[in-house]
Amino acid sequence: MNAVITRQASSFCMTSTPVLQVQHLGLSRGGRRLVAPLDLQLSAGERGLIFGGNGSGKTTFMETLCDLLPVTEGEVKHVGRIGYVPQEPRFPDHLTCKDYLNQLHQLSAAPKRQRQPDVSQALGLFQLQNHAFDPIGSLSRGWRQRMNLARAWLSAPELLLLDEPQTALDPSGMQALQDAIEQSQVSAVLIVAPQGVGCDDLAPLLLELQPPASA
Amino acid sequence: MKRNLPSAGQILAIGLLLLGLAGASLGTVQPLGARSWQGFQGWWTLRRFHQAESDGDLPAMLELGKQHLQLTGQGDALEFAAYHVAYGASGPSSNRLPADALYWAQTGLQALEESQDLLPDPWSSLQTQAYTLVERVFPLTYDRDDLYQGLRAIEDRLAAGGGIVQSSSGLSQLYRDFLTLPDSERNPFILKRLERALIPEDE
Amino acid sequence: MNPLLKGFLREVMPWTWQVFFALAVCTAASLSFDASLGAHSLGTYLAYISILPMVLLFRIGSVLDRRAQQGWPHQEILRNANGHKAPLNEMIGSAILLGATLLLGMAPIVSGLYPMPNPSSGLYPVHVQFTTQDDGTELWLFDLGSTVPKTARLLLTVDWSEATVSPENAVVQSPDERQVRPIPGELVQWDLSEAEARVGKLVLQPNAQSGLILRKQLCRLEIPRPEADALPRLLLHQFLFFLPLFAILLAWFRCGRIRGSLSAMATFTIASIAALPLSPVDLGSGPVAALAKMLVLVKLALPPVEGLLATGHRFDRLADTTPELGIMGWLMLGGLALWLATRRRPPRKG
Repeated sequence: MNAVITRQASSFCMTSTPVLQVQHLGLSRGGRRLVAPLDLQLSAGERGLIFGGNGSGKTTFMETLCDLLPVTEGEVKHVGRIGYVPQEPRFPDHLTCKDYLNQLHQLSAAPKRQRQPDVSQALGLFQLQNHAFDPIGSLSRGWRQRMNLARAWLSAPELLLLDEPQTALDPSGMQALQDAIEQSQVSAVLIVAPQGVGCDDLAPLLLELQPPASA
Repeated sequence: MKRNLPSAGQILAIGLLLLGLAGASLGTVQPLGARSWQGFQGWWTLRRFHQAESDGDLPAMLELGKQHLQLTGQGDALEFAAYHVAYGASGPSSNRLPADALYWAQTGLQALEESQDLLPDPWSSLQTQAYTLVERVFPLTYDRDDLYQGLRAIEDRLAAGGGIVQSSSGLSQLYRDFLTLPDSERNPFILKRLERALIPEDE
Repeated sequence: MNPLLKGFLREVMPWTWQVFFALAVCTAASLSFDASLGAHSLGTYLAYISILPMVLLFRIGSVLDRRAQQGWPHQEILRNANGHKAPLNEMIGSAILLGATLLLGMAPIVSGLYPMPNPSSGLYPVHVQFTTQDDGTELWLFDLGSTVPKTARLLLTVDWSEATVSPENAVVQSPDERQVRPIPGELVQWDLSEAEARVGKLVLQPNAQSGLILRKQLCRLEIPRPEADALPRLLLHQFLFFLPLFAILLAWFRCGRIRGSLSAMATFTIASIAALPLSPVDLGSGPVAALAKMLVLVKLALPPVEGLLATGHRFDRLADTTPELGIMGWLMLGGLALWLATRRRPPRKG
């Protein structure tokens, strides 16, 4: 039972080393095949958008790229760090935004002297400076989503994977997201989102996922 | 819907837990906090003992003294209770009928004899046993076995020089003097000494 | 202090828990050392204090669960290439909290608020059997129980009333020809050798047909009790006992991929088995015996560190009985557990 995959031509800036290579990646969830094998390649500085409706496997696809789910069919290769914006983010609500980003920065391989500049930059990208010392649990849904984005952008990862990043963002948040994507010269950015939710301008369309037809 | 089987780690952890629970219920394994619970029980038992003492509840004192010994390994409470029950409660000043006095004396004695294996300082309790047998039980029963049992208790105490806690060179010498006597003079020798308190003498 | 470590410490031990621990130490000191109603026992105090590391173990298990729900494992996978930063900081944090807790346990002697118990000695009953050899010599067989420290000595009460041997010629000796001369009116004091303490059994023999009678019920094992100034050393032993357990907790949580609370319970079970003194008894047969044998097998697989947790009214039997190799083996077990906890695992199947 194969999914329908639409490939459209995208205006890629071709560079030598792919940051992300996906070869014949097959996705299943709960024993059900979601999509036919996928092939995909992104280099540094490239953008890509994947459309998919409900149940088409967008989140499963993203989590597989992040190593959060095992690859059962095909191959995924990525170079460098990953910044991931999950559709349903989880946070330690008792920590302040700054404390949390400081701890995440220490988890990564980034040098200690870069901690303060990186954290300040991540907060600044999404206008979170005024909430730096607020507990994450006190933030509204929209600001939590900005925190979700800031977390992914921390330390300028080589690959950014955004799962429905537009969720709960107001127009200024969407603008901040667009600016952040454009400023990420070294990162490859892959976005998955449903069609018609405002992500069309963020990146060129790469693929369209559709759930397999029922028997 | 496909159910997820427990992982190997979960199976191992639950297996270990069940083993530990079964071992604890059989008494083979003591959970880590058990000694602190015993300590607390000992403290609580001592509180109840002191309450029973101020209430003058001798049976309760005896029972709580035994429990305290079991829980803490300390014999002071039981020895104190046994002395009051066996010697104090059966004496002339207690104004008890002979049968009651005999009952108290024998009850206290029984508690000491049953616990002698557990008492940390068994030599100390021998004195209470001896006085009780010779001065409280024998005058009521006229059973010479009771008298001789009391004398043997003192003899054992002398043989140990009073024991390790109440060690006395005076008692050691008394024992050596005792051994020099012929059999017929040994019992009267001890009886005479019982009239003076057989306590460690000052050097 | 780095952010991960600070965050962990704050999460496990906020001020409410710090107050609780401080109150617990005060309560323990009061119950143990109070002049009027305290137990006057260092062992009892150590038993109360030993509860706090166990509470800490379960507290950390609960925090690990909460952190899993907060998405930390995903962030670790995304950011940490070699997988060791988070578990190492958790282990360091656990060690700091454990050390601080046991340091707090020293407060009663440092503060001088309570009178310290009179050390004296622990006196324990001894099981005695008599046998008579063919030549009429009587043998006294002593079972001292398990965990006998090398400083222990046997106290025997000998009845001379029917003795046929003079005090100058009386001798009590062991099979390895160590001897002691009993004196009428004095306890016979036998200092245990290392072998006798290790085995927990002893055979003594008086002169042949000497007429010396051993009073079974009055035999006691005397063990010198550590004084109050031994408290820091005994708390250090508790630190060495509990430290590897936190590594085991982390290994179970991360490698076993089970809930933090279940990991804590499993670790608590391992700790209870490790603290179990092994006594050489015949377990017999049947399902109950099979269960007991399984427990013994688990116990034998662990280094002999029960002496590190010398607590309770029999703490003097356990104190300072742990071999150095045992401590090293236990710490190495903790090191192995920590290494396992730092290994990156493949993602769980969805």
